[in-house]
Amino acid sequence: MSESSNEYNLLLPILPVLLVVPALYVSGMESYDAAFLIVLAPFIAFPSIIIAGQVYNGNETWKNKMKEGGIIGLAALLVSLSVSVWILIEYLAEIHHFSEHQVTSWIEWISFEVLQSDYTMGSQRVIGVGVWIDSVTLMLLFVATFLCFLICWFSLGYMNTDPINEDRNHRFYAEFVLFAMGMFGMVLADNFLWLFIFWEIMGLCSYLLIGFYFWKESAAYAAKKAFLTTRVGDVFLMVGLLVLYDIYGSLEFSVIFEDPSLHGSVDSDKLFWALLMLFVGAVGKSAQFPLHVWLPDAMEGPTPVSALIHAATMVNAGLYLVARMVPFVDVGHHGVAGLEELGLIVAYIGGITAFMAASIAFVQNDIKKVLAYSTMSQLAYIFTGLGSALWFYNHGEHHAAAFVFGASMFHLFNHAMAKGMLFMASGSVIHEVHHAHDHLHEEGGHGHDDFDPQDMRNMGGLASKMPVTSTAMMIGSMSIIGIPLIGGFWSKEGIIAETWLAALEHEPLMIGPAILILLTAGMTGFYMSRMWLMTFAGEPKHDVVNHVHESTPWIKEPLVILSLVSALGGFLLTLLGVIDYLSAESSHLGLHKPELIEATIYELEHAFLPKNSNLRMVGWTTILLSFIIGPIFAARVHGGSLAKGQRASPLVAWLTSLSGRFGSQDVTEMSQSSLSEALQNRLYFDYYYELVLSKTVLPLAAFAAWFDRNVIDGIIKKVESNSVLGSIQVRRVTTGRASDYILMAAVGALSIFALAWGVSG
Amino acid sequence: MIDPSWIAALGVVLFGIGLLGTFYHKNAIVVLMCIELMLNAANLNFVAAASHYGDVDGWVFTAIAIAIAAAEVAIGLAILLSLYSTQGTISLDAARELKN
Amino acid sequence: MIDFETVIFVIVSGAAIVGALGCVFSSRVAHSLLWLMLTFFSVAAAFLMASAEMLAVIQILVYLGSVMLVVQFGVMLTRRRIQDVESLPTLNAISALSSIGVFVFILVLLRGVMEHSMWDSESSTTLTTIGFADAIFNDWTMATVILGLLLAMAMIGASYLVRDERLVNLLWDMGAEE
Repeated sequence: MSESSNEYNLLLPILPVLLVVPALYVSGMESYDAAFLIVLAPFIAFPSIIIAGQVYNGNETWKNKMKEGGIIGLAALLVSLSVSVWILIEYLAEIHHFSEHQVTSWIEWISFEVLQSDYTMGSQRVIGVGVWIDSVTLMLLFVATFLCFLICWFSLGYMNTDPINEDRNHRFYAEFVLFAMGMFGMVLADNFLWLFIFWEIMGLCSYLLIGFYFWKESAAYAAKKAFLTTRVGDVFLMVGLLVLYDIYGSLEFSVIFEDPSLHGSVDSDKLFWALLMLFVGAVGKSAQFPLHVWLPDAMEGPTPVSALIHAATMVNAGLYLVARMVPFVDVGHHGVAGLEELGLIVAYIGGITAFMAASIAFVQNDIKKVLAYSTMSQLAYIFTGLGSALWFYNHGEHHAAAFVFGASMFHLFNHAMAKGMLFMASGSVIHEVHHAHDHLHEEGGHGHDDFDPQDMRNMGGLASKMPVTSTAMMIGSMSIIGIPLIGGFWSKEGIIAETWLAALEHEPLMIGPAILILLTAGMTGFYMSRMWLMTFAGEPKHDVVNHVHESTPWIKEPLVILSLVSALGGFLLTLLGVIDYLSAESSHLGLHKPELIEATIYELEHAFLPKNSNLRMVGWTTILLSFIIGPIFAARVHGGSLAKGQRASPLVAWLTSLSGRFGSQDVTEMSQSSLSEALQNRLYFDYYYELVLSKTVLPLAAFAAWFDRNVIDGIIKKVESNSVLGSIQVRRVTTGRASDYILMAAVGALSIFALAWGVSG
Repeated sequence: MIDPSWIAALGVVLFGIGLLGTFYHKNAIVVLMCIELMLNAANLNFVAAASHYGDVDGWVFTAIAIAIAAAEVAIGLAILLSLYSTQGTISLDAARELKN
Repeated sequence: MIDFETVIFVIVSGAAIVGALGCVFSSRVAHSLLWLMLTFFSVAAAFLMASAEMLAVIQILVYLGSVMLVVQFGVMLTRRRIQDVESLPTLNAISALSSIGVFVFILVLLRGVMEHSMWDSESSTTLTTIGFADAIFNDWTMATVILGLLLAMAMIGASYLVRDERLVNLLWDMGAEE
């Protein structure tokens, strides 16, 4: 891959794109007015890539210089990224304030009059096109644009070097860019209708991209499964939107969130059901129990797809939707009382999913599946946090609610960054292992067929071969586990602490989620460490490993960038008070205390030694479970120092040798138990779902098909055949005999004559 | 001078009989003859009107009708002869090629 | 005293009707032809009684002299044996119905014609043959010319229709190139 260093000149066409934002700034446009560009750029790129890909398919320049559309996609995403960074900077620097939440609805897209009950037309309703920007939007926008850009960069190296993708990549980039547009649009939408439209666009692209390798039956099946499962959620979402419209008479955020007069007369039962249905939609999209079955199968898609869609952006759509439910329940600001059960339900679903996903992750051998279940589990954490927040908001505990809401959103940020990077790193590993295997096969090595480059049992000891990847993966795993001081710790602690607070001091029913997520913390420690150790530490388990080497810079650079973000971003942002910013408690990011050192000490104290003694116990238990017990178990089973003479980057080397010190434990007996088998079959969810569906949906479908063929088509065919018969009868008039024709002509003429005579006479 | 309306009435009766004949017969020549009968009936009507109004145009029409009838008989017979040479008989029942 | 003219007219019209009925209901074509000649003759007589002498003469000349001759030739040329009796067509539902319909129609028409308001006004102009010639050659010149053309076309058409195609057919059957 020595030519990779020359590939930077491919980026030259993109550089003019960086001039867009300065040009707009100079021309005096407001940053939020330019927000449409964020959605417009990918929207234009999508047909361009498709058309250019069809026209130039196979062309050498297209393949090498433009990376089959990758450069176009990268340029569009760079536009989106730069505009969103510009908006972010302006809001952080307090050039604009969130009191101007909603940017003016730019155009009235649909406006209609409604028939009132007294049969007059009145009350014009409007659905417009515009953007809504607040702290949640900004964070998700930044996460989405940043990750889309980085993962597109990553896929330039990943997709284009795999010969199986030759001449097909333009479809990949086009669908990727369309998905990006869907995500950006959803986050910026200022009414629920547009949110839903972009939501569906993302679902479509998820289907297309999972089924990218459509000739593989498993991939086609997985794509169908993903689409149909999220569709179930979407149906509930639609119904929820209808009920919401019925309550409020409008789907605009500006009307629903801001207008106090409406909220007073809202039926809380109706609202509860509406929000619950919205939540079911979110459950489907974010793969929570019971609609979680599609996420592990979705790993059939290429790794960039898994990284972007199923870890870092689309699954966050469900979280975004739940986050938007806060104004409904916030009794301090026009919310509706009596919606506590909603928070409870959200928290329970979160807790159950977290525990269940973590337990299944214990027995997965495919590296991407481990990460998929980890995603499910971490998202469940965020849902639990949001559930507690909703509960607190509805109970009037504003400070606690704001804290846990901010922590959940911050955890979303940490998770997205870390998970995106983890998937990319795993992609790097898979890519290189696959290449090494191909090399080996060329030189007359092992058989080609059954080798799965994603199976961790074929790896081991890769730390010395892939230093950058192993370090990146280590940092990412630590962030997910919640190792103190690294990334995820700051947010996870907040969620666990506040949930326990709710359980102990306010609502006993919250104890369920609280216990579940505490246990899950430990389990997370175990399975993430297991994943890392199986891949990178110990002796190589397969000959292939000896031929592996590090990836191309296209793949490496995003990994490096994101590891820095994961490692340091958590701490830095906490210092700057991001949690308060995200929950809109404060309108700027700044240090709590005047001095940096003082601020650091304050944060550390806040995290490790909270005032409440219960919380202190909870906090330290979490740390114990996740930092110590979990990884040690993993090390006992899978750890081990590298083989003699292998060298790795310093921290990694220390870790691997540390992992060898804990002795080893044989788990073959445990891995053959029935619990293990159940977990390997994903707790039989798929089996039971298919059983139920085949008993209910399939007969109904068969009946519908029969009805359509025989009744509906039958009626039409009967009409057709009968009209043919009718015309045969009519044809009998033409006997061919002249005398008959004379008769007919005469009768006709005389009739006309008689008629005329009668009329005139 | 007789009442012209009687001449017209005679024309009507002849017309009806001729009409009946065209429906009734299957021999093409007889049908032709009945058509001639109808034409004559029309001529009677013209003459009656001319006699009543004192306008000689009625006679002119009659003369024209007679001439045209003659031409028509000629062509009709020619067609009939062709039909006869094709199918061997002039029965209209046999001329069924336009059936259905 | 019955008007002499009326009696004559009754006789003439009776002959016409008898001839028409005979033409329609006779069992042999030749007989139909003869009855028709009687009808034409009666019609000529009726013309005379309407003071249309010229027309009566034209009627006799054209119809009785030419038309009947042509029809007679048709009868002769299309029969195996002249004396063949043709069975009258069978009476079925349609023909019975149409006959009755025609009968009713005739009756209605008769009443309509005879009681028409046009007969109320009187006119006194007498018509002459000179007037007739005047009309034909001055007022109706165009019609007359076209009529002549029409007759010529009819003659040409008729003679073409009865051409002898046997030689052509034979050659075509033998596959000769034209």
